Amino acid sequence: MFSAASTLTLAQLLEVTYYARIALDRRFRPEDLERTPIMAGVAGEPGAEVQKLARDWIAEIQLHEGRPVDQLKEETLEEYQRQLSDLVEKRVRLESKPDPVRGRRLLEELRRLVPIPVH
Amino acid sequence: MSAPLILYSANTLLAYRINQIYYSERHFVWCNPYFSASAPSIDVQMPPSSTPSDICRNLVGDVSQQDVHSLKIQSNRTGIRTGASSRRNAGQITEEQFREIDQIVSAAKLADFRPLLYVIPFHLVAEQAKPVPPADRAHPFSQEYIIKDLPRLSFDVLEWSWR
Repeated sequence: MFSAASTLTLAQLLEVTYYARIALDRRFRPEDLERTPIMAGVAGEPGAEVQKLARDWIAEIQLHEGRPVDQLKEETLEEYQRQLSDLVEKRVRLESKPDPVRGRRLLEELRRLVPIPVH
Repeated sequence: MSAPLILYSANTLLAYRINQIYYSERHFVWCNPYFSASAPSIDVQMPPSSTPSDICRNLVGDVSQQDVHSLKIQSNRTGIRTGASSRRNAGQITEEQFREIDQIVSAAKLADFRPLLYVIPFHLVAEQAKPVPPADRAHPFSQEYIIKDLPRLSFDVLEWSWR
């Protein structure tokens, strides 16, 4: 499932999984995505290669499930979205080597600088 | 259909904080003219099934139940990383800032993903709000918008605490 994922850089993987998750959430079939790319016209929209890979991944899901994405149950769609997020998180753990001490310090500083907005 | 009066957007506290500090108080948001499907407007028909209200309620539920496997929270972590990667590639943040965001997202606790509701007067963002094209089968009223660089001065923020 999700061919070519292992050959992508982390930046590419982030882009493709984000785009594919959004398309799944809105139940876009591959042909829908080709005809009306989500985020078209927004600066920073995904490049043609990213869009093609996302379409391929949704086609793989449809093939695996034997039906179009817009006919899949909510739980099934969520499971695939979870798999996509897991792909990213595993790669992040592998490549960016989280430093818990530094991460906690940065997070504390961020919380201090931006308190919960109150009106 | 006429332009909406208000757009609503569900976000997390962590995303809000990162945008405030690392992106000069500019926020990338998906937004919707419908607040809730359970309290339908008499002016518009049939809101989509996943409204800002639903998203906020689900996030509050996941945070309060300490659901470490929450799909919404996992997706938000990935979304924040994707945004940071995109802004680094666009030269809007440095490699070091990208690494900091990455470390923050890894260290974030469930409580950092508490939901916030942004209330955005449409007339302030009419030029920036890009409509998201729906799939042909989607309901024609389920219009979403993306705003790439929403200035903090253009919206109000409510902390969501209802389940």
